[in-house]
Amino acid sequence: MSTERVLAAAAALRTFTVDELAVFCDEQPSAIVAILGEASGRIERTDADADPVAVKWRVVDLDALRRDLAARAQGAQALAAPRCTISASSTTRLLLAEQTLGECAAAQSAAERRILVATAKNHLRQVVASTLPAERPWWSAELSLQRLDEAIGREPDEPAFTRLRLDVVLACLVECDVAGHRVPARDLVDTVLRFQRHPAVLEHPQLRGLVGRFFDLVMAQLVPKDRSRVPAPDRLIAAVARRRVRAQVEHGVDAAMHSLVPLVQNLGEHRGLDREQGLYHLVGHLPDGRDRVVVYTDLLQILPRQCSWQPAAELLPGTLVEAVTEPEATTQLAHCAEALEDDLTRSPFGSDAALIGQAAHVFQELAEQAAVLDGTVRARSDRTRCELLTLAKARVWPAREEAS
Amino acid sequence: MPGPPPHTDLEPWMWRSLLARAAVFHATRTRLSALCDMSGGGAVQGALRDLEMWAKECSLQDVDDETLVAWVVQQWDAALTRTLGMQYLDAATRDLLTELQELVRRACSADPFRKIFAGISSLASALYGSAWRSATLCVAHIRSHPRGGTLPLDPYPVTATTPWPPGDSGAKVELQIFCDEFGPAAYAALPMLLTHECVCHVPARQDRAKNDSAFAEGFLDWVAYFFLDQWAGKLDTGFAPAVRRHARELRHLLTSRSDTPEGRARLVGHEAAETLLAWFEDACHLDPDEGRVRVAQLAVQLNQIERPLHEKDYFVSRLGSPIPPDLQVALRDWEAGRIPADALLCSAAVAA
Repeated sequence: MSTERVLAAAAALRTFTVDELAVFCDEQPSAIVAILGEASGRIERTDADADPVAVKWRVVDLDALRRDLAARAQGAQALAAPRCTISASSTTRLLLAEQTLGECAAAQSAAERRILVATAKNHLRQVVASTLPAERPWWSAELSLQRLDEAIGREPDEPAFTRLRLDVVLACLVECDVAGHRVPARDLVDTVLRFQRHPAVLEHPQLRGLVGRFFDLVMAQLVPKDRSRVPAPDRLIAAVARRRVRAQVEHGVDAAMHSLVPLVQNLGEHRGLDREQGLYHLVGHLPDGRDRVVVYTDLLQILPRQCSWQPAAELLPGTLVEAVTEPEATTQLAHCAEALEDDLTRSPFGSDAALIGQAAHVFQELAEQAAVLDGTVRARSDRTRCELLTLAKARVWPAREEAS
Repeated sequence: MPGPPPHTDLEPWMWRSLLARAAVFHATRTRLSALCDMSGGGAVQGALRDLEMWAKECSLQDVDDETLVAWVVQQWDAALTRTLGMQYLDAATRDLLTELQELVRRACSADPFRKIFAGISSLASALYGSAWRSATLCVAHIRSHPRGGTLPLDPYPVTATTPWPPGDSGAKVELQIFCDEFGPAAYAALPMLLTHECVCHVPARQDRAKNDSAFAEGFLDWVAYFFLDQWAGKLDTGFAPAVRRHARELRHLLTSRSDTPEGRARLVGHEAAETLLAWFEDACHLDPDEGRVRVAQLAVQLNQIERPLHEKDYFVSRLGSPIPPDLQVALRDWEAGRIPADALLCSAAVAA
């Protein structure tokens, strides 16, 4: 701001020495001389040969100098533009929008859910319009994360703005859910990646509930439209994977967000995983006599210690791994997988929760058999079963065919 | 022998304690504002403490309402006489206590809660006409301040609800009072609370009750304040100044809270009503009074339409400034009498 102050003082004094001008601004004489020198055409020295500190200076074009000052002031104003903030009234509206979106999960009919989403979006648009003046009138405010990120890019870490961004994404996801529209996996991944840029703010206690709801809605997008066409073992794997990643949110949003990307890539539209994966399959035999297998991770917990194995790659977060196994382990895994698949395939139950509960039950039987060789299997199996039963009871965003 | 309390949800002693104070506040209602203003300390605060003490004392006596009120009045009258005998009293305090003493001697034992409710429900019935649903009042005790507030920051330890759905015999309005802190300000706020119930909930036609409905708890609440302002003088000229004033103060308290779902719904609904009022003034060239009447009319008409509450909430969500052009067209049609309110609601729902 020193340049502006020097020039403003010059405009006021009209004719002055550097020392005289220095009294009216915050710069040292040498800096003042430099600034005055750059204002040629507006300000000039009256005696070009004299000592620059002692000579007189005068304003030769006051109007131009004032125009310069005005332009600088505008520029400074633009640079120091007030941080756009979400007003108290908008925060109230934002919270009301969240309440309304929350009601969608329990709404009785599709028509009701549609109206609730539209209501929430009206509130959100009004918040966006009152926060970002370019987004007016409010009914034409664009509710997109990309647009918001562009507009509020300079305040990315404020919980209030993250709340607005989360709410906008939630509204869009609920709307797609209500309409039965699939969000392309790449769009979901893009959304997750955008939030991943600000991990700290997502851990804010006030945002935890919203982040959880975001995960719920992403998971709802990953549920196959016609689940009856998906073989029960694959449904089990997908259901456990979704619920395990969702459960991670309670322990840390950052880790959960990182797990979400491969989950979406594998289970979302144009999924990466083969449609019929099964709980186990042999990929090939290695030259050293070991095998390379793809297996449902929980089955590894009921292997006796004698059956050794090493993980090679995680294919689906927390649920499906590629592992290198000794032949005994291969045989044991194949046996356990077959037993569990047989049981699941005969299951009369359609829901994910029932499938997971059923798997936990089979695990108990398999663990008892394996415990003959290694007693520690029981403890490991108990932990897995407990966790599976907790996952089975977890609340999820209602599947569309169940809710309508 | 005393009969059972008129409000069956109250223990007899609780009713006696409440009635003793309410009867005194009713008798002194023309001076309630001054009583509240001067109750922060000194002799007036002392007089209110005396009243509270005698109300507690009489609640232990198993007597009928008439005897009870007469006894409390006698005790308080005597206490006021003692206070007025003190030399240090300033003129304003002396004048107020003297007036209170004269007024309280006219106290009667008729249930003041029912009296207030009868007046309000009669006016609300006239407003809603055939859509009015008969309503009964019951007074109940709550164990704490309804908003967790404390005196003197929130001197209104009272609230009211209308359980949904209404029974075969009509709606039941429940006035809930935290009796320990029931004072003159709370008594003066009762008409507002009951007006809210009678305007917003008793005649409502909807599928459910929802505390966080921007329509039922916000938009209509704004209208309830409007009607109380109109009705206060008709209900009781002498009580009107205190009623209006405490309605304003209660409103300020409630609308300054956005930490609850109902608080947020109230704020957003009020904002929507103000936006609509501004639109009537600007687009239809109505003066502010006429504009307010139109907002109130529309809200009352919407409240009578047998449609799901979320549709009405959706309508309110569209009343943002500026109002969307399609809704402006529909509102103009409604204002000109070309379409009924249900068409307005439908046109809004179609936009969803």
